[in-house]
Amino acid sequence: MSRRTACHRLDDLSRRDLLVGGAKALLGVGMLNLFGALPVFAGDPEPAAPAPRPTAKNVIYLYMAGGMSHLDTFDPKPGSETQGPTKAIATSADGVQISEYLPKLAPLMKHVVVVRSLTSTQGAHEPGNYLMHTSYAQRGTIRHPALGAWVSFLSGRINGTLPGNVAIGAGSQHPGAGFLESRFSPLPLGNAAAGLQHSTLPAGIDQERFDRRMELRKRLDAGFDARFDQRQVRAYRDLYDEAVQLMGSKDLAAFDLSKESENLRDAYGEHDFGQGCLLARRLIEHDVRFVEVQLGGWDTHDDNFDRVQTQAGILDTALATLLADLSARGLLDETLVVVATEFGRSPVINGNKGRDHHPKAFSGLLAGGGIRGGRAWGATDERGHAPASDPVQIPDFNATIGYALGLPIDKVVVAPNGRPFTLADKGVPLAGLF
Amino acid sequence: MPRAVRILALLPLAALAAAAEPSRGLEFLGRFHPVVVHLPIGLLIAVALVEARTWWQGARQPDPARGVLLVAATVGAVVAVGLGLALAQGGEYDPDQLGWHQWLGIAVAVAGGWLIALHHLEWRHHRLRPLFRLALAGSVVLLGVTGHAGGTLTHGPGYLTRYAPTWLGGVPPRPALLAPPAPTAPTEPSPAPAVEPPSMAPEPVGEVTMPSPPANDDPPPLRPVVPPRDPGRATTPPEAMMDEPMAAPAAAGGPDFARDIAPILAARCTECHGDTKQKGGLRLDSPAAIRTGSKKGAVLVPGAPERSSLFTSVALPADDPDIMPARGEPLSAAQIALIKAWISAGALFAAPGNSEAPTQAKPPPTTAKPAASGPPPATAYDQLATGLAKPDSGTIEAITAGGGVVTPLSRNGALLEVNLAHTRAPLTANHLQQLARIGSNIAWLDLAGSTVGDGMLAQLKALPNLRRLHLERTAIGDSGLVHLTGLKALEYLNLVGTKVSDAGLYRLHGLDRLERVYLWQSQVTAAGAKKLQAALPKAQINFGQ
Repeated sequence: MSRRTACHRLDDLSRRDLLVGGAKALLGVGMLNLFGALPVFAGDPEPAAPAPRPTAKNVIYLYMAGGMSHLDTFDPKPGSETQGPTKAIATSADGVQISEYLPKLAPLMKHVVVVRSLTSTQGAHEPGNYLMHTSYAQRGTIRHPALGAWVSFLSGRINGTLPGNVAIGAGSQHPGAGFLESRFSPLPLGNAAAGLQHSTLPAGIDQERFDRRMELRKRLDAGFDARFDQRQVRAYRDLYDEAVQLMGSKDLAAFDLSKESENLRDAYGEHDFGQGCLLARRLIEHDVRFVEVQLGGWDTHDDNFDRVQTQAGILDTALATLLADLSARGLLDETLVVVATEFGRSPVINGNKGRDHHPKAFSGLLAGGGIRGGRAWGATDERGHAPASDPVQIPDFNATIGYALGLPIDKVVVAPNGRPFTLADKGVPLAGLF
Repeated sequence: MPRAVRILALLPLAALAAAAEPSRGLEFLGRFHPVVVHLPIGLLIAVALVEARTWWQGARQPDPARGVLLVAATVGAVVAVGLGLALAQGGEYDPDQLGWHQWLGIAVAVAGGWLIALHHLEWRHHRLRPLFRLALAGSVVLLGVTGHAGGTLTHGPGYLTRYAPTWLGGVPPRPALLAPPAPTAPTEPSPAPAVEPPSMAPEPVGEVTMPSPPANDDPPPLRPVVPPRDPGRATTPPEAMMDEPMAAPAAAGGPDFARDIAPILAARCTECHGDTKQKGGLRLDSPAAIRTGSKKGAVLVPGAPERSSLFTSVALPADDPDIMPARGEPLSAAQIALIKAWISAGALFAAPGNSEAPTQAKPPPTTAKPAASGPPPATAYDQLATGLAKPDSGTIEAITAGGGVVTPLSRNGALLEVNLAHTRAPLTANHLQQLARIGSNIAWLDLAGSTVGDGMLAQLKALPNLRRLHLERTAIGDSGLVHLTGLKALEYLNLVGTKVSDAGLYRLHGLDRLERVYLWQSQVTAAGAKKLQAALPKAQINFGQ
């Protein structure tokens, strides 16, 4: 530490310093500093460097609508008074216990990372669902794209004739493509077992006649399209083109679950969610990049333990079969399987043996796609009330998915209202998972 | 709170303390500069207001309060200057900016003295009134500039206008970053800039799939814009930097603290973070001090450069207000790469085996789980891509035109994944023949579910760097495996649902780099799979459940 005093400092002044200082002090040269803050020249933006080598090519995104109880599924707290009757069982991942309602998944947990420290502030279904899907809080002035739309938008298709983004059993709350053009929105499928409806030509119309009709439509629209080259007009035109392209796809069989063996179909479970997971696997196999499958019924305000047992049983059967199936086919290396939900359920058991909404702490899963599985990321406190270590915000979770896909997660896209957005808002990927 | 009151009450005594123990006492007094400095500001503005009222009312006599206020303001300014000089002793501030503030502050105090003199003259000679008012106005402007310089000193440049509308000089909002990126442009000429995106215009993955901006759209069209802080780098795994030629020494053997890192620190960092100054409480002139970190905590998280401010603050874009070094050019790309590689490698202060190693190599305790921290482990992909020529863009265009998809796997775009699973026309030998011209660039090849036949696989011998091969759900049989024997680099082979049987499987025995082989739903039996496992003990042979 210097022991020089103010007076000594003044001794050090050279004549030049005195003149410069005097000029600064008395002639207003200091004013120049003020102008330094003004923008002078906005240079060309630097081209974004290519994304890193992706560890995953596809995503199967399983969404547990209604708020999955973390305590009764992937974050049990044996011995805690908040646990209720749910027991914990050991898994193939060292030190990671899950609920007894997930027995088939237990031996496969070596592929899975349980993110136990997810935390959010959105405690109602619609905003929670919206935040989980889009990484942004819901607001009146804009609709943000869901993750699948971002993936389609940022990475393009591999299979040129199938849509890049499919949502199975997703409700009307799905944010879809948000402000992105509608061709990035997920192809909605209600019932997986029914496959893709209305994809064949009606009786009495052969391909040639159909083509003629489409040609006629194009001719009629051409003038209007050219004159009003706007997003809504383009969206309408794209819709036709996409649909026709899909109808002609040689991969249409990807939607047909009857091509799978009866045994395998049963193994996924005889309900929409299980069949949806099977369809997801088939679509991934045909290089559809993002498939979301939803399972509802997790909003267990009453009779939590019985109802979670039922829902967890459905998830257990479907997810365990999906992971094993992907693994046997050599697809788990390149497919990221995600389990997400809008929030957890409260540690406090209410008067109806139920658990209420609890966004403070909840669990999500990531498996395959280059994730080093067999561990838990973060932890909650002993009651399962709040994250005790490594809290993960929803944007961080979504950024991790984008990161695994090698997407430019920081690329800013300007919405039509002129505001900048990115794939996962300000999320930071959990790079330690890979 | 009571302590603050006590200190204020005893402030005069502190001056004595300063005399007794000069350096400590001065620093103690110096901290009161921000407390005192606003007093003369307010008083001088009060003088201006009082004078403005006199002017407004057209009064003949100046306001009687003017003199008292002026003297109080000047005394306050002198005290503030004194305390400011004491504060400057701490050396925590940028000398350039400090110089401006210091001289301007002194000027304000001097101007106060001149104003007092003018005030007395004007009292007797009213015709001097315009001169007094002019001097007063000038002093107030000077005061504003001084205050701004002081604010800049305390809060950093751009603090005031940071959130101003962008047209006023505000900094546009920035997206979140995995880690702050490297500087936007290397400051030294780099022989082969690897940041250039691959030249594959029609390739539908990445940049090029953005909707083209239409000409006459009412709302602004969707367009990708590059964020202010070049984010692409942010997501780059550490090995990506290694393919820059200048970082080559780091890649070979890893950077050594004494050889590679300490000289950078000594040249560019220790002027402010060293023996004479410790800005932000940080010293970078000894391993122990580096591990101790700054006032804000550790600057080093071994293995995780993106969480180590020692790396992140030098890797910011050159125009970022927080970039280090705060003065002079940013570090060169090679220097940044060295620091990153050094932290990635565990931030060891002495080479393993060195006598210092046992004490020095121990990383500071971090809250992170060791296995869970840090970016993906380095793989061979980017290193493999270093020596490769850029793939021929004409060939890539031809592949893409036929319905194939070509995706870069390495940051310099030289290593590729090619997907021919969805070609427009059924896959033929011609499709595969096309690949030969970019053969050594192809690391992954996906032919899953295609019409590929045994004979067509003969074309694969032109792909010496092939690591992953998808042949699932094809009609490939034992005679096709003959053509795989030369693919010595192969790590992943998917033969699910093919006609391959035990009889042909022995052809894979020589591919000793295989890590994963998928044989479910083929004609291979458990016995055949076992044999392959014996030949390839390292590989995971997946035969289904």
